Amino acid sequence: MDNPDTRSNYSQRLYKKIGYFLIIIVTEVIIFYMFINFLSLKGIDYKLFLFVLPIIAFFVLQRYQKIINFVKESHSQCNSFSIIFMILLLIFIPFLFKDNPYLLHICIMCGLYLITALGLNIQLGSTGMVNFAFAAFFGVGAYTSALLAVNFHFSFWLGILAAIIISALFGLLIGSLTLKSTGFYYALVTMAFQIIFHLLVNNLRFTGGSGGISNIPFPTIGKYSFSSSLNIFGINLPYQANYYYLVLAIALFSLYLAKRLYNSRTGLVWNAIREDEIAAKCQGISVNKGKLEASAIGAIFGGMAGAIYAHYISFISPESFTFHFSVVLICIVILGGLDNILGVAIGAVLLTVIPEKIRFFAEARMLFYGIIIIAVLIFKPQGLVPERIRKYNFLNFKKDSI
Amino acid sequence: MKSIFKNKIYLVLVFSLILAFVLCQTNLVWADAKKVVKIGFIDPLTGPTAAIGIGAKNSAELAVQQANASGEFTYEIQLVAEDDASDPATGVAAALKLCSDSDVVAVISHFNSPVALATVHTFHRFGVAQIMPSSIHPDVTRGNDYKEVSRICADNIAEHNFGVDLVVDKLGYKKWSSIYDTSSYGDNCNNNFKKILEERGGVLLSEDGISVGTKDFRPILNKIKELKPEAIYFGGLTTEAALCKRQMHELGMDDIVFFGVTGLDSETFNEIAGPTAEGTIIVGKLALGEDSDFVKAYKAAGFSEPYEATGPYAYDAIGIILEALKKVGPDRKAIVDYIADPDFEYHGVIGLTKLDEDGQSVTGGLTLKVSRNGKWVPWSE
Amino acid sequence: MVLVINQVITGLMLGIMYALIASGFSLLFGVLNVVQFAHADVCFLGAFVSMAVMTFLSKIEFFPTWLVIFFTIIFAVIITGIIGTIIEKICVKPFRKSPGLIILLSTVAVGFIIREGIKIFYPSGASPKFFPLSFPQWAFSMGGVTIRFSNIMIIIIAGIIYFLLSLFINKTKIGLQIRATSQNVEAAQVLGIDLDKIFMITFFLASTIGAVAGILNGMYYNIVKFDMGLMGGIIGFSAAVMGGLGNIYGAIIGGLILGIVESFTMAFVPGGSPYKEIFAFIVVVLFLLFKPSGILGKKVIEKV
Repeated sequence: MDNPDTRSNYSQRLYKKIGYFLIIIVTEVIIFYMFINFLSLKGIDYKLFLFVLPIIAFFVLQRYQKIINFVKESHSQCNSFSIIFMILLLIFIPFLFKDNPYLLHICIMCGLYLITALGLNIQLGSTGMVNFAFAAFFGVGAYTSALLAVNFHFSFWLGILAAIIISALFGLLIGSLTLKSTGFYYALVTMAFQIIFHLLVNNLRFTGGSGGISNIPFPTIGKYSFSSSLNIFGINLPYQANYYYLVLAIALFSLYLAKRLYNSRTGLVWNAIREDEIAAKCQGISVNKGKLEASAIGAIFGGMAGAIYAHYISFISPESFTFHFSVVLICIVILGGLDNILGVAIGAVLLTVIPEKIRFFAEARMLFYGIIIIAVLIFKPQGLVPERIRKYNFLNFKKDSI
Repeated sequence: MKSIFKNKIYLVLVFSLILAFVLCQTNLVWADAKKVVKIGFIDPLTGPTAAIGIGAKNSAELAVQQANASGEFTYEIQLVAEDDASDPATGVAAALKLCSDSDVVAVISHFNSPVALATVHTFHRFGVAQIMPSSIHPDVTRGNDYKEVSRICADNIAEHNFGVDLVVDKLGYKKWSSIYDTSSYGDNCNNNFKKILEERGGVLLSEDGISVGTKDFRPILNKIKELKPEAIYFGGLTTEAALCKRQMHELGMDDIVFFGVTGLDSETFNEIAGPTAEGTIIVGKLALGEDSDFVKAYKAAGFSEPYEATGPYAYDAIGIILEALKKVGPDRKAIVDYIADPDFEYHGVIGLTKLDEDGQSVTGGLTLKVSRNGKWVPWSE
Repeated sequence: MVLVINQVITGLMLGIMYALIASGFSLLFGVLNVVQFAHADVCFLGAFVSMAVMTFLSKIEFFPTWLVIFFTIIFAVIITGIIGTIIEKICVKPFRKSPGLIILLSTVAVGFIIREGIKIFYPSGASPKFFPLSFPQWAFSMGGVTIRFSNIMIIIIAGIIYFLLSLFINKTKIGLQIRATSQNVEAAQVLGIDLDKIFMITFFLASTIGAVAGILNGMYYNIVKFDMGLMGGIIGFSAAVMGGLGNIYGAIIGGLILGIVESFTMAFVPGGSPYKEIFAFIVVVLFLLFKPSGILGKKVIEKV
């Protein structure tokens, strides 16, 4: 045991570990710090300088692959530490924004867009189904829980469960109607469904028509209502903090779920369908089952986010679930990177925050999204974070040897 | 690992991090010379009804400029204009943004009723006085018991009462067909019209909903023609109404009276319908003469856009807040209480404003108008 | 009965508009094997271009009105055609080798850019625009059935367009090349057909037809709005799919069916007018379920 060799080996490993931790802390704090500052940016001011600097640093670093590799290595080696540290930072956000609920509101919207985009990623990214009806999935969830809460006084928690079930059924319905149609035909049918959904909720009586549903009750836990300000360690946080933590928890759970799905056999089946349906069929994969699963599971993500959205804004109307929203979601997935969960997360955050923060973009929001889609398709068709090659350790290979 | 720390580029990273931190901590804020009190403003500044929002914003800006120039306030008053793009979710985000700015003492907001219905809860939660110069849905004020919320224009029910007085009671048209758009505005119009018409002994032969953006009314008009009504009621907005009137002419239905409420009150109607607009009767918003102080001041201020129908209301809404600031000072709660006071009265461009217990104006100026030679002119016997 | 005939006439007018848009979709699909989703936006852009050209031309005082109208239409159609080719250069050409859905996505984005571009950069483009051109108001009535000059003109113009189009495709050399390309791209390339040129010409052709459709739409309904291309695109696309993607005559049939379905829904389904598009889409979905290749489409055989 006292072999000096082992000991030095041990201490070397310890140093290495500490080095990894330090790198993780530094990189995450930088990213977090940039995010916070970008959120609190008011127009164009000196803080913009803060973004230029790290971006320049990033591009300079591109030339020194060693550092990039080291950063990547430290994150992949100490995966759980990196995740836990990021979560800790995220938990910290409401304390920073306790005087500015509006910024917290943007963070919540980031989370909701993220959950929805994860659902779309399953269909668009993993399975290759260009779904233009995803806003309808989101809307089905929102309307289900809102209608149940307003008319039948369902609690939020039951409502979200119902939203999940109904949107999954809706996903199955659309999925089964479109089993035969592929490619353009699938795109067309989903567009038609998107328009039909919008027209229906816009005109039917029980959905409140274009006036929508207002005064959707706040979620409660026991006696504690989400509309009351959250008090932690004597610090009063605005009521949005409740939703923030809720959305954070659900977003993290969704990320976990999406990751598990990606790594599971189902994820592999979806990719097989995307690459070549006929080849997949020949390998004994049930293409129909795979597509239906993608439809339903994607819809579940959308419906869940929709239900939270309805209760959070406490008002929904058809205008929030238009074709435009579908295209925004597609834009998020394409910008972030098809079939890459990290990419989708980055895309969701960027495309929620940028239009909110920069006035010109807010006015020309859809123009901006259109240009982004084309620019990404031309210059970086893989998205910001390209899809990774799947890793398998069939023969007990070390994780990073492939 | 040592090789990395030797690398100069690592220094760049650390340096940028430190610089970033330092820059963040030093708050490069130039102290304001004068205290600022902000009045929020939310209207559609982009989107389909942007023209109305911009007209209202200019009028509100005018009122604020005049107040600052008058020297009656020891602080500078600023108008913070936000865009709701006629979209409730954007409206709520904008309302949150304004409410979370503690300098904002009160907010003027929303042309679109759906947006107003969505944001009233937000304003109530933050205790910020919200004065609506132009939304029309009765539930905005009557559907809640928030004392923060008030409206200084007539609501939909009042408009219909006013109009039906003329067309049914005085002119004696009893057989009607209704065309309405299925937006909340059109739907609400149709319901109120139907109720009031039936109370006054009229008959509604048909009701047809159309979606906003419909451009072909011929199928519906063909059908209505067979029913032979004396008049057609249109619950909707200018463009659709003008197209409908135009196509009525094409189908030879000129002898049928065309009637609408404030949704039609815009010169765009006459422009699109052209000569076929002749004889259309509407309940219009108040028409200001060219010689009124507001119109003169607006012209003198040199805004490039017209003040539109809602301009005078927005101007008065700011006027009410300024009055409150003078009386009770820049405090959110005091302003809410001041406006909610049952004895509250304000004399402005639109005349006397008095609010009932729901915060709904009981006065709100309305005028009957008729289209003559391509222009809306006030109705005369 | 009179009511039904009147409804058929209004449905026919709507159907012709849809058919003209759908033909563009089909023409482009036939040659390129991709869906140019922004096509309907290009059509309505044509209407906006003609409005801009008209405002410009009417400033020249010595032009008589008929000359202004004539030049307006000619210029608008040509400019729109050029815009179509520019779209091809920027947003379709780079993706020719990628899967077709990439082009669908990029052209959906182009559609957004056109719509929002009109909204932001055209003077007060967000509000509906009154279209300055219109047909004379002559009409004659026969036992309650009113036939207007505009109805006859639209049918005649559409007829001329289709006649010229079929003449161009069937009788000219370029038409032959277009047909060859639509049958087999590789073989066409082997035979020395300049694909770039063919694609450009096809886009120009489809966009000019689209511009005529947009202008006719403006003249008949008197109004154009920046966002009409969205619904127009989805319905035009549907009509093309119903007729069989790639088949121009199928697109005409598809357009007419959808036009008549919409107009009948408005007139005969009680309270149905807000749902008119839903009925149209139900027809489309049914077609896709039971006859995915469309009315006149070829049966697609899956090749492995």
